[in-house]
Order: sequence, then C-alpha cells, then structure tokens
Amino acid sequence: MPSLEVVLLTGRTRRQGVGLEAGKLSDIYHEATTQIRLDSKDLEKLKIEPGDIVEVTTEHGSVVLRAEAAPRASEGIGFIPYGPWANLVIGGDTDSTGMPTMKGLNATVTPTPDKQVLSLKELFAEMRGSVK
Amino acid sequence: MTTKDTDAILATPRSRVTKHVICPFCGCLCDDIEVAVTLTGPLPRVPEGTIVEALNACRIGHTKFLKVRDEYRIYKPELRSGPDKSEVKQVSLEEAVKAAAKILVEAKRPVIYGLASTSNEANVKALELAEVSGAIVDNTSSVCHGPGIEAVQRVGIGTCTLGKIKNYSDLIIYWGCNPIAAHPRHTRRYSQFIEGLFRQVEDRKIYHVDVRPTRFSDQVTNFIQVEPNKDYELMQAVRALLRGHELQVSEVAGVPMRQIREFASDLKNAQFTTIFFGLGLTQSHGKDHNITVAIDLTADLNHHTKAVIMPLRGHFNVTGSNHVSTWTYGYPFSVSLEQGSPYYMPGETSAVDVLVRGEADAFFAIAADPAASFPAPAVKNMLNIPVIILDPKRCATTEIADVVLPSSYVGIEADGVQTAYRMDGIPLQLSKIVDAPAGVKSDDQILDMLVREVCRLKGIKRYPH
Repeated sequence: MPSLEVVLLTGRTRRQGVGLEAGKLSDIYHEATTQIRLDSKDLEKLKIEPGDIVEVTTEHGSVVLRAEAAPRASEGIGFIPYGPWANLVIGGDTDSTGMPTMKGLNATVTPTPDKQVLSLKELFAEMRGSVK
Repeated sequence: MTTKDTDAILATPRSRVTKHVICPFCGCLCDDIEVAVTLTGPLPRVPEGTIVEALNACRIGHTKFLKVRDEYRIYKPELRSGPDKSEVKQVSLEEAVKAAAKILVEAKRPVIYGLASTSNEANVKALELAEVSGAIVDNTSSVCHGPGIEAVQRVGIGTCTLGKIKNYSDLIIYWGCNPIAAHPRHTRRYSQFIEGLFRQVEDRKIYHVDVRPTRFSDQVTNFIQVEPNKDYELMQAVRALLRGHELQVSEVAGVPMRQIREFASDLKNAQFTTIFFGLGLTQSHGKDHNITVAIDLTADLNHHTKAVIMPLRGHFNVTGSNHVSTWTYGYPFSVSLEQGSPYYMPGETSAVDVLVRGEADAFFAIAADPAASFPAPAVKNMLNIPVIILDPKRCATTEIADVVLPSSYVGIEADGVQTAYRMDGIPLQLSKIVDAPAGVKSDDQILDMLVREVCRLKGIKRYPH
C-alpha cells in the first residue's frame, strides 16, 4: 500500500461546531470528526477516493478515519476536525504551557480498506484496553 | 375540525418572540438574536415553551438554541458504575451532590476544569469549591488561548473593544484562524462587512494569514499562506522590514519577499490596524512565543500608526473564566489551591499536564467535555479515576463519568443573574428565555450545594458571601 507523509492540523469546522451543539453522541458529530481532509492530488498519490478508509499515524498514536477531499488546494497537509478521534494522534507534552501541540505534527497516512472507523464507545473501550 | 376551531387557532398567537437575546455559543456574544418560543395552543405536537426559531443566529448558535430539549438532554442526575460506566442509576440531586462531594473530599489532588461555557456566577462558586476542596482549578483557556495569556503576562498587550475596531479600523488581519468556522458572525458584526462610524465596508482591507486556504481566504483582500509552524519567522521578518532592514532572501516561511514587503507596507500605511489571532498560533510550534512576537509586532506598528491585537476567544465565557479567576486569585487559569494559597504554574498545574503525569485522582468537568478535547494520554488517565460532570447534555465525558449532574442552559434557561464576558472583555448580562426542565437547577445553584456539602464533610465554616 502506498503511504504519504503530511503535516497534520486539527481544528474547528462549521460542521463540527454544529455537531457539538447537536450532541457529541449524534451522527452529525461522528460524521464531522471522523474524517481527514486531504488535497485531491494527495488522494491520487494514495490511489484512494473520497470516503475511503485510511490510518493516520503520528509519533503519539494512530487513528482510523475516512479520507475526504479538501475543498481547496493544500498539498501535503492533512486536516482532522477537533474531537476524540483527532486526539488519538496528539501527544500529552505541553512544552510547559498547558497546551498540547495540536497543529503542525508530522503524520503518515496509509490506506487501510480492511479497518473500520470506531464509534465513541469502541474508542473508549480500546483506550481502556490499552491502559496499563 | 370546524370553521370555528380554525378561526380559534389562527387567532391564537403561535409563539412569543424575545428580542436582543445574547447567543451563548462563542466569544462574540452576538446580542441581536430573536428567539421564538411556542405558546399553548395550535401546535399539539410541539410542547409549550419549545424554542422554534433563533433569528439572526449563525448555524452553530441556531443549533444550540433549537437543540435545547433533544434526545441527548439529561433530566435526572446519574451515578454510573461498571467497567465501562454503563450501569446507570438515576438518583436525586441531593444524593448525586453527596456522591460528588465525597469524591472531591477523598481525593488528594482533585482537578476542577472547564468553566468557559457557564456564567461568571458559576465561576465564582467553582473557585470557592476548589478552595474548600484543596483542588487545582483550570479553565478551558489552558487548551485554547492560555499560551496567549502567558505572552500577555510577559510583554503586555495593546488592545481595545470590538466596537472601536468596527468604527475605526481600516486594516484587519486574521492570523491563524478561520472565523467562518469558529466565529461565523464575527466579520459581519465587527470587521469586514459592517459599516462603522468612520469606516465604510469598502474602506477596509482584510488580510488572512494561515497555513491552508479556507472559504474565508476567498472573501478577503489578500491571503498569505505561511508554512506550518513558521508564523514566528514570518512575523519577525515583517518586524525587520518595519524597522528598515532589508532581508537578503527570496522568501521567509514559504512566503515570497515581494508579498511580505507589500504586507509590511500596508501595515505601516494603514490608519488603524487590528490583528485578530486564533489557535493557529497558540496550538502550533512556538505556542506562547508566537503570541509574544505578534504582540511585539503590534507594538512596533504603533511607532508608525495605531495598532491593536485581540485573540478570537472560542467558548462564550472563556474570557469571563479568566477574569473571575484573576480577580479572585490573581491568576487567570491553572491555579492550584492545594496548599491553602493560590499557586500558578502552567505546565505543572494545568489540567492536561496533571492528568498526563497521572497525578490527578479525581476530575470534575464543569460545562466542558475534556474527554473530547484532551489528548489521548490525558483521557486514558481519566478512565482510571473518579470523574464528575456538570453539564446539560450528554457528551464524551458523561460516558466515562461516575457522577452526572444535569444543569440548565446558561443564557437560555438559567435562573437569576447570569453574566458573561465578550472576547474583548465587555461584561454582558445573559437572558433567560424558557424555564429549565422541572427539578433541573443552574450551574451556580448546584455548585453552591456542592460547596455546602464539602464544607460539611470537612468541618469548614463557610465564609459568608
């Protein structure tokens, strides 16, 4: 499988904002926060279509998400809306500021058609399993 | 249905409209919302007191008003148990408060966190709770504009109100942010699309500086695309040009020198420059140092023209949580009251750090959802400790909580005087539009009950307010 190095950003989208007010357990929120937006050229490099499943890995962890096409050219950048899924690839170090580094991380995107995007319940169950 | 019935329905007003309602979503605190609430009568499927319209609100604010009573609303306090907290027992508020107080009293390093989506009155009570519990109290600014506050403590800040920007500013820069997504009405109320006393819409020049183009970039005068993590370099290059130095390079931070020179010239020649900055600066490499240099840039500009800088605050009262904490303890966030006196050291006493290091042994989220906003290492440790949440609606944190305390929506349902600070530090009184569900109290009322119970358990005589 081809893989791609990107600079990872997390942030607010209007859909994610609507989702958090509609309810964090709602389908709108799940749909809005379980995607990574990539440039269409990057989707071509990965030989995938919008809606295909990918795994995003940073030095802090990995998460399975849907790949979507970014509406504007942003080659080399991956954007995940804020939420529990984005937080799986964010580290806990705050550089003594209290603030984790949530933007500008190096990440690898790999197509993983055999994997599935987790529900919130499954995500917590997986976290509990990994707690030592 | 007879003609008489139809006439009766048409003659009955279907709703009452409350005007000048303040939207409790983001730091803009838009004060021109018109909220329609159904009255008894012709709409049998819509109960009386249902919000059916929030005119003028953005899509996110509109959703907040209209989704007040949906399937995710919590009406009864809950004690949750079992390995995945799926065994739910509904209890009385008094019982839930006792359980929450017991957790706080038994913990050695409890953390109280959130407070940005509630009123100043609730903040006052939460700080008192932290004091009597001997807890760390942190607000959500530690994971949004906290680094900006640390920069302000280092170099100060030259700022003003949004009204002044609306009336005077002719050059407005949005740096590291996307107001269309996070503050959808900001440009319409305070900057790009609003006519001010001394500025017409066409008088203004708008710059957007960001690491990727968004829909907002399409609507501004100039878009500057900076490489991720290099805002600091770009701002220093602009400062060098403003001071008369010529840089012998073709580009800085991925931006051609021609574009940087044009930007610096526009900054210098404007009559009133405003820099709005977002989390693109505070959450990327450099963090507080990015804001330090942005403030320094603003200070440099004041040698040539009038310039101000302002953070785009997210949650509707995150500014208030900083104000209340500062006027009470002298520090704006991440305050430890474990020693009996306030101690402030971001990185040591901030919620994420305390959780990641595994030091917190109880966590109380107030009007916040840390399980959805903290990095995984912090959330993993939350799964191992007792968690309490005070919030009107189900969220990621309610799913991992031991005690769930439902409250009324501040600014929509909450009784009594409820106030919040706009992003520019203007305090505003919030509205009450509809009654809260029966038996559901406001955040400040529930926190007051908790303070009373913790004082009782610890034998502390409460200082009268």
